Amino acid sequence: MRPKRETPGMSEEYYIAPEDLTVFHDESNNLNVRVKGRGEWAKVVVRLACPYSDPEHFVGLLHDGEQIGMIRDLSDLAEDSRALLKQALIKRYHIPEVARILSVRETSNAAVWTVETDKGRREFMVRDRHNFRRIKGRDLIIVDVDGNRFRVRRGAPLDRESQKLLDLHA
Amino acid sequence: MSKKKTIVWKLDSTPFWMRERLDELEENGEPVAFCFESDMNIAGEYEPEALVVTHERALVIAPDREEPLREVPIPQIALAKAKWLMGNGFLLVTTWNENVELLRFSSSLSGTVEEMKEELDRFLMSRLAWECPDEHEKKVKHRDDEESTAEGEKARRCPQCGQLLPPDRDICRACLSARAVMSRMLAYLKPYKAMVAVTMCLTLVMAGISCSVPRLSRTLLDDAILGQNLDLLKVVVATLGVLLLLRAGTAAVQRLVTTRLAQNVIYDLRQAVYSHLQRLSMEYHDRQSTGRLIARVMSDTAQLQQFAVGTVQQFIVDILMLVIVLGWMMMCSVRLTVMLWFPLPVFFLLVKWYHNNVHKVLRKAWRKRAAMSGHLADTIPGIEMVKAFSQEERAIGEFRSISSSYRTELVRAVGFSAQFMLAFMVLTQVGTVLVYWFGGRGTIEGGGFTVGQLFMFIGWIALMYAPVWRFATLTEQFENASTSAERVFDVLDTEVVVAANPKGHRLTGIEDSIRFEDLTFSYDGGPAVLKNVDLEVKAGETIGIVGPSGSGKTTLIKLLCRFYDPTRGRIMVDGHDLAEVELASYRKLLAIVAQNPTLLRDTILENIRYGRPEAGIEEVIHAARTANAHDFIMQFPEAYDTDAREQGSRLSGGERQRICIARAVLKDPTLLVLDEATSAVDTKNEKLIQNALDKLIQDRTTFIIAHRLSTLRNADRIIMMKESRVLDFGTHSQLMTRCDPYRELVEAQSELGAEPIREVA
Ligand SMILES: Nc1ncnc2c1ncn2[C@@H]1O[C@H](COP(=O)(O)OP(=O)(O)O)[C@@H](O)[C@H]1O
Ligand SMILES: [Mg+2]
Repeated sequence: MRPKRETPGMSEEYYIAPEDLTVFHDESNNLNVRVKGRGEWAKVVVRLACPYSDPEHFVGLLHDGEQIGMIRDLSDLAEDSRALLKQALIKRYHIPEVARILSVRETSNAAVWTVETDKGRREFMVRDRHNFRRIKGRDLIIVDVDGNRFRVRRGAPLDRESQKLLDLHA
Repeated sequence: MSKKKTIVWKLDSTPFWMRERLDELEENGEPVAFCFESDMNIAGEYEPEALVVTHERALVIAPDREEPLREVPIPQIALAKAKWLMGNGFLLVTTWNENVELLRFSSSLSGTVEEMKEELDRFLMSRLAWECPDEHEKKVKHRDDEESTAEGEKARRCPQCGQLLPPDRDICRACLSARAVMSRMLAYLKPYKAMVAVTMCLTLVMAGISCSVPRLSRTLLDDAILGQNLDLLKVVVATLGVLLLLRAGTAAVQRLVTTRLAQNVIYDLRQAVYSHLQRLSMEYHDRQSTGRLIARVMSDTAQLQQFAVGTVQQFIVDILMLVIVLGWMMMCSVRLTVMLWFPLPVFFLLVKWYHNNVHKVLRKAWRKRAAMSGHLADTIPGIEMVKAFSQEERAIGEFRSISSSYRTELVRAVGFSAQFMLAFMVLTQVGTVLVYWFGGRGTIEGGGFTVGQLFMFIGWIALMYAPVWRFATLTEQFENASTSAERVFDVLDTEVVVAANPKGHRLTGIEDSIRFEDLTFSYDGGPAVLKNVDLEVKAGETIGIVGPSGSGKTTLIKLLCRFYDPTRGRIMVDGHDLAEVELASYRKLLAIVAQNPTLLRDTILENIRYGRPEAGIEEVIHAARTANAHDFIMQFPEAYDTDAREQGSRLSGGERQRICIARAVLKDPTLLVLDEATSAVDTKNEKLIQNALDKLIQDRTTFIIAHRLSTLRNADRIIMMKESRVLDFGTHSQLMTRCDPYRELVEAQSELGAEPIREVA
């Protein structure tokens, strides 16, 4: 519907074509990438453009603070490369999913939550509404006082008890 | 009340001294066109002088002088001007060789002088048109050259009664009658008639039960207990029990329904106020403080609802209850009832006195409270400044003194109403004690009451005094409500000045040109900040705007974006007057990066796609890369999911600007406006943004305000502004040769080592 204006060159160069990309570990177990026709980088850092709202797409590759490029969709990559990047991402973005809320204890200036996540049981503390990030149309992200993240999925409903606690305290 | 007219011609209000003179002139064959009495003479003394304009001359007369003080033949007058100075002003006319000060007047006449000047202009114009048509042409053109401007902001007046308006209001207290307020408030109940009826019924049931309890207790005492009738006792106690249960149940249901009703009403009100605020023009928002508007949406609507739902209903029920109870009491004993009413006149006098004084006391406390929150609003967001000048101790000290005086005032206010409560209690207790004594004596002596009747009577006393107490405070509640109503209706009644024209011409693009036609603008009756701007921009051009700060660059842009409508003149887009096109269709074509960009309390992602919420993440990233924002955004741990406001205080001005540029880029506008959009960005990043923008501005109309001239290297033409006027408009090389201030500006900047502006072919 909108006339799409082209800004030539700019975006294509930045997005790495899936068939050009190879990801591998070197002997010291650093993440390396090779982009056909452009070069090779060691100690590559992965970054998500939208870690909360779209964790599956738009993965940025950085080397020494400089942008190498961005991958649109992990699932387009070759099996090995994808597995390695996934692994790196899982390390960088530790956001366990909350399966059940067991209890919430309000104290005078904080609330202690006990939750069951896909990574096991965990207790954490939150202080106020700033600890809750509601991502438009998507999940609820809880950032506790220490900076730990927890994801409460919108798609998969919690049991009634957990939902009640969530409505009450979040 | 009609506005005071000072432009008079043989009206009854014409001062006597003038009438004689006017008649005289008339007799000498010099018909008078109009006249105007001033409140000051030319020396500034408060002695009347008057301007009389005949078809031959304009003359100034005074009561005690036979001869005219000054006179100018009409054909010599080129122009009439009003000059505003502090506390007074002058009416001057320009002849071919001099300015003649005709009248001097105090500032209270400013409005009427303005009117008179227009009258004079019209008169001069008509004379001219009649005498020499081509001169007339010239003068019409020149008429707005010398804009007369009042000093500072003029106080606004109520269009209906001419009284002064409070600075933040558009309707005046006097014109807002209490009855009108009431009926408007009650109008909000209309959609919920059924609910209102239900709550009324329930409240009545409750009141009825309350009234009958004393009646039952009489039977209990007299017939059951004293009459030693166990069966009757059972019946009465059972009835009492059922009634009390019923009352509790009714109360619960009534509360539920009332709450729902109340929340519906307040929801409607809030929605009405908020959506109207959204549509109101920038002029309105300029005048209002944010805090005040928030209060209107939040607390004033609540106050109104409380009145419409709670107070009014209670009032009706109270009246009914009072009538019923009084009826029963009179039937029981006229003497005792009268005795109870005996203290009431005193009481109502007391209420009046209380009412007159409580306001003063309370207002003092409120003022202190306002001072306190004002202090907070200054020092908490400005904490950096406080610390930078190490003024913490001073801030603490100031707060202490404000806070403690608030405490004092509040204690005083509460003490005051405690005294009033005490007086009320004493008065009512006196009545009750009298009833105990006379009623009790009557019971003992026989022929008066039975014991049961006495207790029934005493039971009713409480029921009678409660409504009386509420009536006493009713005026106060009404006043609170009507203050709130004033504020709420003030919002709702303010007309949307920049009309949205939903039926106007629908713009789908800008194909040809944008023309500013003799544009003059002043903010809300203040001095003109744009004067006679007249220029044409071709579609697709990139226009730079330069000039000292305060010269009106931002204002020009604001008019272009139609946040305001011009005071005079117009803006034509492809031959359509901007004031008449459909506003929404125009704004769709437009993206602006404002001088002080605003970020919303949301993620950076949502902030960037604010103008096009349906845009995908890839488009957002692309826009951010264009604005050179992508790299720094990716440095944040949460990248595009970072909360722009939480991070807000940590985002630098340059970063904020780049996010806003991305927002504009993503909107892909036909008309792009950048108001010093890169002023807070460092030179290196600016150059990068510049490169990207160069591509962006290629195929669209762009206005760029810049203080660094290097930003304008790709501008096709440049507008040089100074002191509210367009000094010159042309290409860089044209301006270099013919516009000295521009050349100076360029030279000053190249001395600083800035990249000199590139020659544009
Ligand atoms: N909202 C406003 N209300 C009243 N006066 C204003 C308002 N905004 C700007 N002004 C005044 O208008 C004049 C021009 O301001 P502006 O257009 O912002 O200048 P520039 O952008 O060239 O620095 C200034 O004198 C300023 O004080
Ligand atoms: Mg400006």
